[in-house]
Amino acid sequence: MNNPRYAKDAALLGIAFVVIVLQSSVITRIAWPLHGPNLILLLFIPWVLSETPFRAALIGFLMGGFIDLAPPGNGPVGQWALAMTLIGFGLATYAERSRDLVQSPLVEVGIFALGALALLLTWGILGLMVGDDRASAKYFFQFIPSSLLWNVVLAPFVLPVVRKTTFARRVRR
Amino acid sequence: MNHDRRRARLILGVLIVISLLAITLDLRGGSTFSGPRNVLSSVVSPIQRVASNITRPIGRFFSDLTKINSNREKINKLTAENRNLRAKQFTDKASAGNAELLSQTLILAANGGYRVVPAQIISMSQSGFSRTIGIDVGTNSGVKPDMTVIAAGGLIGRVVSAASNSATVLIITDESFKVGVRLAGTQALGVISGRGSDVLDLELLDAQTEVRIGDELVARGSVGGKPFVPGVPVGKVISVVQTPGALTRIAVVRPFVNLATLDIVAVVVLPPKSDPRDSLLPKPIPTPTVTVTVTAQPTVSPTPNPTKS
Repeated sequence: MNNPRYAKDAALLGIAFVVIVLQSSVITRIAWPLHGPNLILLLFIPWVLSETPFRAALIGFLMGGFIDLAPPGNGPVGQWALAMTLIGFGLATYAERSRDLVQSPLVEVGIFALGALALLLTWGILGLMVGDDRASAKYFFQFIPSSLLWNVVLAPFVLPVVRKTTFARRVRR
Repeated sequence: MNHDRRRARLILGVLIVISLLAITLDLRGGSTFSGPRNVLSSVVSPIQRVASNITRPIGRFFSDLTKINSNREKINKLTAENRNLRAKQFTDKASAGNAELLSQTLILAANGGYRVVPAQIISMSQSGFSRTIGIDVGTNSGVKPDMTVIAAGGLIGRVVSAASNSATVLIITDESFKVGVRLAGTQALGVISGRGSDVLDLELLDAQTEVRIGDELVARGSVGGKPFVPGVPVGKVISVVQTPGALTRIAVVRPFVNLATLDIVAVVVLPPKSDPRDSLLPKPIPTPTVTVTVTAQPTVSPTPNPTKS
């Protein structure tokens, strides 16, 4: 735990926050067919896959908390934080147990898609539990499939970049 | 490793508890998070504004790109529409008069609280003076026999038969047409019957009733609004027939509706909830009577002349 490592963590979190802001101010403003891509998923999932469960849970909590509190957010504070904490921890735990994660690009994209689906579903189910109107049938049956489609199409190009940015610091036994 | 795992589980538990606490606090409706939200908003909003300003042209480009096909379709559609509109402009000039008639009719209906179906006259019976007219609405629009038909000014007739998309209206001047009326401003009742010309006969049931030229008549209304809804203006007395000793009083009435320019009518499909009484009578009628008293003044002004001479 030396200083440069903290600096890099802070920089990465800063990038994550900027990505969240860009997602709400740029990506969602473009009239994409089928809702368009989600940069947050494209950054978050490969990142936590290369982290320890401890750090992944913290990253998820901080990113989720930022989404909950940042301007366009109006749902219950903590909904994204809880969903991303759970999924971050789960994905990192899974990645730690299966070391062959990045052996094939196809497997990498597949795991990314599953992770994204799990995150979107978790958020939706939490929304249903707390009575959030945004977790509607339209969210589950229209937004999730189209969002997954976009992100899976973009994943082969984005995942390697994210992996190279974050993977160098991966703590391996 | 074991230590790592325990640490990870601990942080997971702590973060879950914090998240749940946050959700619960926020759902309880307090303003727990308005402070952090406002701070974050004041930090992030300027960035978002700048970002969206910079990228708006890009966004537009992309959204134009995704709409390029529909844009071409839209251009074609608008060109065709433009052509049609230009052609329509000619016919619209002709129908501007109709619009005026229609708006007068609808204003009358709205003031009386009648629910109406507007209709265009599509035929008139050709035998001499027209007594029935065909209109372009029928049972599909809710038009049924024995409904009141109004036009700009007042009553025009009643529906005698209705097909799916057309109906026949017996108009007020037909010899078989009868409608119960009330002398506006009084309770005096009478019956108006057509006589095959452009004026109507009025028969007042009480021979003692005073009736003067210029008195106005409104439909009395039938039970359940069929065939006549109450309150529709019918016409104005133009002459009173003196019949000493008769049981009833007779007068001649000119209908408010101008039968010569009739083109747009409206069928009352639902009677008003309450009788509009005399409120639908044409308002400008009193104004001419005022001007008559004004023109009477010149006849006063010559009176100084005799004093001079």
